[in-house]
Amino acid sequence: MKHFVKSREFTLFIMILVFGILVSILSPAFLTGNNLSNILNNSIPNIILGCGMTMVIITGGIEIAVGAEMVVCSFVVGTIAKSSSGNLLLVFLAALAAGMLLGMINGSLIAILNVPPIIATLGTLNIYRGGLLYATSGKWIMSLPSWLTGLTRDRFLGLPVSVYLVTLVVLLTTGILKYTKFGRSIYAVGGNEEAAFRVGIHKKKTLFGVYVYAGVMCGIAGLVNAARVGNVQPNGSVNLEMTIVAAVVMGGTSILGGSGTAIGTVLGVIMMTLIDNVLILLYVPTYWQKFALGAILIITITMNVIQELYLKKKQMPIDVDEELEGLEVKTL
Amino acid sequence: MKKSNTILLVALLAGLGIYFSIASKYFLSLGNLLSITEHMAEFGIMSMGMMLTILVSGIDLTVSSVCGLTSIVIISVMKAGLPMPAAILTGLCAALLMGSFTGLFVAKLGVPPMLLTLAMSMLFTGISYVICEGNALSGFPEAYYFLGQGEVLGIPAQTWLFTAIVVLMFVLLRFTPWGLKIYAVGNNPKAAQYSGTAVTKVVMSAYIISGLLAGVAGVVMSSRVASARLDLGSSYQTNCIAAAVLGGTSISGGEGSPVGTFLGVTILSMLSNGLNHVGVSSFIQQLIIGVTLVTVVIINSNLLPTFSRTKTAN
Repeated sequence: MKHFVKSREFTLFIMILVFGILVSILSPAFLTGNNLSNILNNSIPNIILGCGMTMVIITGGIEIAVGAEMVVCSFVVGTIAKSSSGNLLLVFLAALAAGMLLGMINGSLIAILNVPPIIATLGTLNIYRGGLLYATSGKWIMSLPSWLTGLTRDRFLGLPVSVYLVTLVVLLTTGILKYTKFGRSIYAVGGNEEAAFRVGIHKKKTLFGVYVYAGVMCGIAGLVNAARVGNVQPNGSVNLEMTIVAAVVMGGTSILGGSGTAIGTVLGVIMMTLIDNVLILLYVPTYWQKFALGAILIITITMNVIQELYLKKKQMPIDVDEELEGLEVKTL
Repeated sequence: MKKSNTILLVALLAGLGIYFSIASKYFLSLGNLLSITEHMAEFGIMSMGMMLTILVSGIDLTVSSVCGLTSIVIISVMKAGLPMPAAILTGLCAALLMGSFTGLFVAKLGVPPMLLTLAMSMLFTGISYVICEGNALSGFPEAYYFLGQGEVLGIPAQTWLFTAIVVLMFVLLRFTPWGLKIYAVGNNPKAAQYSGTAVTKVVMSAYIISGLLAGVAGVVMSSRVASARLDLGSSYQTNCIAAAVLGGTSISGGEGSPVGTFLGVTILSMLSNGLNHVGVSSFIQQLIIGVTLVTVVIINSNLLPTFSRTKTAN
């Protein structure tokens, strides 16, 4: 219990509650069923993307092509949904396959061809986005069929179907991270690559798997997002990666790799969506919203790093390098 | 810079040049070649800064936002009544300040540069939004257009400026203690520190110069298009990294040269200009840039042997 109360997730949860109470006093529009379900609906694709991103960041990598990948998958979903033979199972499988393929490209570049994650995903970001814009000439796919949009509208036991889907994804991610060999090796690779190698963890396989998983998440998010918006915009979701990274970091995943949880990411995404929502409800001009988001990001990332470094200092009082430093001071 | 890489780049450049001259009759004219150098100048100046930050094992994703914000600051203070030279100076000071701010977080606090500069670019773009409310601002005095549209001895003014910056950067990196320190820090920060280099200061200087150069690029660009916009440099950001990496700058730092980056910039500019002449859509160009970036890094990190300094395990 004590451990739970001290955890980062719990702190964030309390923050969200306090924030929510403050805002509902300031704005009567906040605590309405409509607004809350809006927040939930807007969070869902980001939570799914966040699950993939959490794994990537735990390995110490980064994936900045998520926005582009999601849109490509949405496009695949939209194209199939508009054709005569489309059905929900088919688009779901197609979204998974498309996401997996894109993830495999990233994974091969990073794990097999040793391209640094930032460069690899920056490259694929341009490739996916450029390719999609060329293939579609930038045209939107409009008015998706109702069996698809029903995914976020139709209710089952009072909640939209997509809520069950996202719960499943979060549980799956948590399960993989906590209880499988693959999951544990993700933490190992991110925590201490050298040590992971010494205990026999296959770094390349782990990295490949992580980027494929992130790709699959883009597929599912692409499906849900297409259903939520009701159309597909080839030039949409630009800069989405930043929001996702920020949410993941806010949720307690270490930017330096080695730690983080899916639950934290869920809370991080909700917090980010909440901030967005509140800025609108409080009539903050759009121009200030970007500024606020940037500032929040910088503060979150910096706090995360400072906290990490502080913890490291506390955990490892004996460091060879520091002893060397001490020696040097004496001799000087 | 590795010799094999230089030869590869020059060969690539020659090959592209020959191909485009055959494929398009307009490519090989003095006017077109000079317009390539104009294009090169804008994104080349930014690339030099980007290269510096990559040399110290970092990356600067703020360049495009600094570029836009600088132009907006200049026109705003100009409208507030400041004379042109003072306004330009104010803009450059703002760019310097932005670079210092980024450098402070990266060098002093040790925040991973990739993420931090992405967040910073959001902040700077946000500030631009607040100032200009998303509009393109125009109304520069006539004299302001010289840098982006004027000519000296028949050659575009910004080409002169770019050449000067490349030469200056080459001299600074090659022949000054500061240049040596940049490479030392990029190669092995710990060793550099133990041999008496102020790592923090050196890293910070790289980001400050990168910010300043992005500001200079902003001045040139706003002068060419005769308006200040917050998204002025946004199309160049990926190209800057691609140019630096294409020119042999190692993404893990400590290796690379202004000459290589210059070649990278030339190749990318020629590619974009030539593809336009051949009639390839801009979407495909975006794709080609992505492919080029990834391919070059694959070649650099897998196929070319690294004779130079080995890096430590951590």
